[in-house]
Amino acid sequence: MQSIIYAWKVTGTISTTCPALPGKTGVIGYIATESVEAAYRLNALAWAAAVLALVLACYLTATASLDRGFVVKWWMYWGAAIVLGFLIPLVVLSFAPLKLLSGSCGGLKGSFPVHMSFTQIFPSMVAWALWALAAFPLLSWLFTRLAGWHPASRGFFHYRGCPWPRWNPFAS
Amino acid sequence: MSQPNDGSAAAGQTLTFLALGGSGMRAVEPLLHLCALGLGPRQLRLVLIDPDQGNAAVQRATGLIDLYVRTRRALAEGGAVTGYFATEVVDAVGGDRVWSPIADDEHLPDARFATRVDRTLMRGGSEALGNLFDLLYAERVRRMDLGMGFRGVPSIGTVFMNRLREQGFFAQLLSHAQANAGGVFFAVGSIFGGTGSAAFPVVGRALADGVRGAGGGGDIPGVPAHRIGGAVLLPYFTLPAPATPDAPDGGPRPETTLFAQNAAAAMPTYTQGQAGYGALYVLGDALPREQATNEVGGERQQNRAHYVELFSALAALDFAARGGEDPAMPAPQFRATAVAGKEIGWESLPLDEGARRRLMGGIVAAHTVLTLFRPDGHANPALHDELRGVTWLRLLKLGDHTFQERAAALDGLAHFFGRTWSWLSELERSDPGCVLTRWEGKPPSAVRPDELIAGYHLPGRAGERADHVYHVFRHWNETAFRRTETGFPGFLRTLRDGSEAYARARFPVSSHANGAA
Repeated sequence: MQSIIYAWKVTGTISTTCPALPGKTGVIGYIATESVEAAYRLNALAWAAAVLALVLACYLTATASLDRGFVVKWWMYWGAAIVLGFLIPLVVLSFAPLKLLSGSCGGLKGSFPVHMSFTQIFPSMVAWALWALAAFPLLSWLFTRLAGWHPASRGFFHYRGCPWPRWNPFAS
Repeated sequence: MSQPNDGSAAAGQTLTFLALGGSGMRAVEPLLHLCALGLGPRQLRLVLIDPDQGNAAVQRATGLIDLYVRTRRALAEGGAVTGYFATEVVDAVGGDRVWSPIADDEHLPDARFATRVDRTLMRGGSEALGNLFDLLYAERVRRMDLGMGFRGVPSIGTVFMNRLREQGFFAQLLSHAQANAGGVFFAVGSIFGGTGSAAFPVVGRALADGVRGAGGGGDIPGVPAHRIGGAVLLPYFTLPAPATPDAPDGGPRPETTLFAQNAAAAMPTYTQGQAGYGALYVLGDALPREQATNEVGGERQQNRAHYVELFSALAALDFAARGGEDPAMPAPQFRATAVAGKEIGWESLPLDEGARRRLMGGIVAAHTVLTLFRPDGHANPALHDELRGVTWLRLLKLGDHTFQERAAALDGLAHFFGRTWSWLSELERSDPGCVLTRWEGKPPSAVRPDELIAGYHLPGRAGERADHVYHVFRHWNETAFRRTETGFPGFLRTLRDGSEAYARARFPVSSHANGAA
């Protein structure tokens, strides 16, 4: 669990498969750390934007006041945040423009596509999903506490009973 | 008619309302509903006059008065009668509730008219008087059972109605009028039937004259004419042909064919100012509705609510709001309003925008009570869960058990608003219809808040949104945020002001089908 949670950011060098070189087999290449870090930063931004957008959409698109229907909706958005937290690393890290570490792959010159494998991305997917699991209710709570005191915050004011004290959709 | 803009019709006034006969009695119901919804005066003193105390209209009116008083008391125990039910309703007659002009003779076993006037004693020196009596009243009239009212024969009623001047409660009414210079009197009665026609001129005259030597003491002066108003009801219904020409006691039945004739004969009394009134609101209908049954009286005489009765109540509130007529103007001043078309809608109501908003807000509030707090009048065991975390509840600092502790007040509100719902439904289905709503006989739980008011639709997608009670709560939240009052009084204020805010947003003037902006 600890490693999964820590997998939200890149640690160490990440290996990649080198293209077939004449006369050389089993050559291992590595992805340049700067490019991996850039990809993870992009992933973090996309994840944060997605979770924030979900929180805002959940509260600000509703037109009534707190009822059981909203609590169900809030749970659905929470679920959507977890799913997005799971999928965003897959998309971002799969398509991020990564670079080969210089000197690896037997000093291969020229450019060729470098990608992380699904096995390498998966721990990050799980990690960001878990962070989404925590971030969505935390952001909901913060917004309803801080912005929700005033009617100008619209949904955060009208639904400030969710997630606290109303979080259980089966309560009524 | 003019009303102050805050929506309350006559918040600072005392209105003494005299309900005369069946039609007057039926005007009590809309008056109480208007008072419950915050359109009433500060104090409403009720004087109910009808010899037919078993009449369905009397039972209906007295039952509703009891419910109003009970509900208001329960709200007062929670410290909250400043919003809805703000009007204090006082029974001015006393323990008997309804004054009967023939009550003094109730110990007599024989209730026939001739017996009540001691016709058998008109002998000897009084023989001429007896002959005159026989000449004026036909045999079938002389044997009428007066316990069933005066049945379209006002000449009988006037014989007894002057007993009003001898009543203790009437002297108290006059004394109260002397002590409260701002109070006004308003009588409602038909002038085409029996009891109303008999009482209307006598009541006005007695109020204006005052009483001499009351209670063995000095005179009590009358009320100035400009403080006495009345709604004269012209024929607004007809009766179907009866199964038998005579009533069960052999006496006459009210006859539709005589209604217009009776009214025409009575009108000069009022136009010439002989009845003591300073203002007269003349109400009628060009297409009178035929009642379902032709009953002489009693509990079977049940008729649907009629818009003319609502207009009578509105006339009383208008008179109270204006504090009576201008004393400098000659009496009586006649007031009239016209309604175009066959159906009555919101635009036909003689109310200003503030009062109209209050009435619409009251309907929204009643619906909210009858859908969430007491669904269709029944208890809601899930209420606590459904309200958990609701913003207005927290802003008003209402505890978990507030609504359990105030169950009597909520029950009262629900019972009364249930009657309001039934009354508006009756008006809607009446013919001619008073279409303030389009509920089609459905219970509150089957009607959405956005469907409550007839004729107002938001344009575009906003108008397509199907609201529920939590959409109303959005406005309650904002109202509760602005209020400093908390607890149960704060709740009742929020119920009123929040519901009005919803009505303003959902049923704006500009959305009216007729564009009555």
